[in-house]
Amino acid sequence: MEPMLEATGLTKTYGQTRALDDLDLTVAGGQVFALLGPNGAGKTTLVRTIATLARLEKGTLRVAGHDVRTEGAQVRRAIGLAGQFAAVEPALTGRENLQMVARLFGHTRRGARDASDRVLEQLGLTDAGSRPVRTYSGGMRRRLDLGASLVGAPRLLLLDEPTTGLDPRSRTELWAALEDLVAQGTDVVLTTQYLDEADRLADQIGIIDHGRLVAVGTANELKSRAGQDVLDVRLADSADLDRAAGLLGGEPTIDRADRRLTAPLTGGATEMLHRAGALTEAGIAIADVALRRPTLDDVFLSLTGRPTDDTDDTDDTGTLEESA
Amino acid sequence: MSTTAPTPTDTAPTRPANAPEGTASALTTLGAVAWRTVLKVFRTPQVLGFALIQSALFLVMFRYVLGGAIGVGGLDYVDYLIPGIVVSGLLFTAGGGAVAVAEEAASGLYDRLRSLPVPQLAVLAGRALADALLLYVVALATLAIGLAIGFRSDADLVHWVTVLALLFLYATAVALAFVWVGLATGSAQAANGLALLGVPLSFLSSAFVPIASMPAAIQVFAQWQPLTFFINTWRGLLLGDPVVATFEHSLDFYLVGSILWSVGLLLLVAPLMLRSYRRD
Repeated sequence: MEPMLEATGLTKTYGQTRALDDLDLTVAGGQVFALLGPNGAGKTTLVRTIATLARLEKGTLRVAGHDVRTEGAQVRRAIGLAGQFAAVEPALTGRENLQMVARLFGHTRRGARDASDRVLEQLGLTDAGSRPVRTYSGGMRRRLDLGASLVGAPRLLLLDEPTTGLDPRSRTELWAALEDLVAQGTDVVLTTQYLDEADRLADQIGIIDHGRLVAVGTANELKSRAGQDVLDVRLADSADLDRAAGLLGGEPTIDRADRRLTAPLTGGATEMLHRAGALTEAGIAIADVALRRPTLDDVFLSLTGRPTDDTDDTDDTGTLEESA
Repeated sequence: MSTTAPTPTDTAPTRPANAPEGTASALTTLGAVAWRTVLKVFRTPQVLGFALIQSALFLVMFRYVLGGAIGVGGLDYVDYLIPGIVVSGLLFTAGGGAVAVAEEAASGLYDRLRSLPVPQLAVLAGRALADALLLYVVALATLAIGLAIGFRSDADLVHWVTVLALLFLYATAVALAFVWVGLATGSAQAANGLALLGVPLSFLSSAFVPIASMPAAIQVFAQWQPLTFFINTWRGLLLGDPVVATFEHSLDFYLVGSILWSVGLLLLVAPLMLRSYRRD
C-alpha cells in the first residue's frame, strides 16, 4: 500500500526556532499514527505542513501520494483537519456548522444534509444537533469539530491535540468516537502530549523532540526499547535520595517531589530484592518498592532526557519540596 | 478448547458513505461562507442592535445638540448632516466585522477553511460580501431614521439609484479592508483598536462641519481623504445645485473620485488580505 505520509528532510524555522529540523517520516496507510512530544517539539508545525497551511523551507512531503508543494489541491481533497481549538460557530446549530463545511467539501445541498446527520449520529450529537453550539459543553464542541473534519469523508484525518483541555470524561468519550472511526477505516494522524492517549489509540507512535523524530514504533516496541523492567523505589525521607541513588546502581532518575528513584533492571525479582536490600542495610527507610514494565513515560525520558509533561522548566512542586 | 473463530473483519474498509459528490465551486464557497456569516449576525442581535443604536445616537446628538451651533451656509443642518453620518457611521459599524474575523481566526476557522479543497479567494469574498450587506443594511436604516427626523431631498430616481449603488461599492471596499484588518491583527482587541481610527477620520472630513472652517493644514487632508469624496457626492446628488455651489470642485470630480477611491482600496487590500490569510 502506498504510504499515507512520506516526509524527507522537512525543515521549517520560525525566527530563531527550528520547528522542524531535517525530519524524516513514513507512515503507512490503514492505521492510527500518533506524534508524541512535549510542547514546542514541532508537532503542530508538522500537522500544519501536512495540511498545506505552513510552507516548507526544505525537504519533500507527500500526503496520500500528492506533493504538498505542487499538488496542494489534491492534498486538501484527501485530508480533514481538526485543530487545537474547536473551530465551530457558537451562534449556529451543530447541524448548520457541519452543513457549511460539508458544502465546502463538495457535497450537494442534500448530500450535505445527509452527511451531517450521519456524522452527528456517529458522534452521539443527534439530539444536540438542532441546538446552538453556544449551549454545548467543551467536550461536545470538540466532538462537533471532529465531525466537521469528517463530513467530507477524508482519507486522512489530521487531529492536533484532540483532547487537550478536556475533562477526563469528555476525553474518554472523544477516544471512543475516534476508535469507532478507525474501525470504519479512516486513517488518522494525531498529535498528543499524553502518553496514555497515544498508548490507547495509536497503532504506531512517533516520538518527536526539537523538530526531529527520535523514535518510531508500536507502543510495545518503544517500551522494550527503553530497556527491560524498571525498578521503582520510593523512600520515606527525601534526604536519603542522593545516597540511595548511589547505592541502587543503574544510574536511576530521581523524582524529588515523589521521593522516587527509577532505574532499569535485569534479573527480575531476585535482583530487585538484592538491590533494595542494599538500601535497607545502609539504614535507608523504603516506603514502597516495585518492579514494573516500562511505560511510554520511561521511553520518552530515556529518549529525550525529560518527561513529557515537563517542558524546559523545573517542576514547581519539586522545588517547593526541596526548599521546605 | 474453545473454537471461536477470530472475528472476521467485517469487510475491507470501504470508502465511507460521506464521500462528497464533487468539489465546491467558487460560487458555492462564496455563498456558504456568506450565509454562515449572515446567520451568525442575525443570531447575535446585539451586534446589529448596537450598530443601529450608535448610529441613532450620533444622529440625535449632532442634529439636536451640536447642530444649532454649526453653520453650513444656507442649508438646514439636518440635510447637511445625513449624508455625512450615513457614510461615516458605516465606518464605525465596520469595526465589528474586523473583530469577528479576528475571533474566527483565533478559533482556527480559517485554518480549517484553508485545509478544504475550495477556491480560497471565494472564502474571503464571501466573508467580505456578507459584511458589506450588513453594513449596507445599517446604513439604510440610518438613512431611514434621518428621513424620520427631517432629512429631505427632491432628487430624482436616477440620483437615488446612483447614491445607493455608490454606497454599496463603498460598503464592499470598507468590509474588505476590515476583513484584512481582522486577519492581519489576529486579535479582537487589536482589531477593535484599529477600527476606532474611523472616528477621527470622520471628524477630519466634511461629514459634520464644512471643511472651510478647519485650519489650512487639516483642510488639505480633509479635502482629499475618501470620506469627503463619498459624502460630497451624496450631498451633490441628493441636495442639488445650491450645495454643489459650495464645493471646492465639481460634482463629477467627487463622483469619479469616490469610484476611484473604492476601486483603489479594493485593489490595494485584496492582495494584502490574501497574504495575511495565507500566513503560516
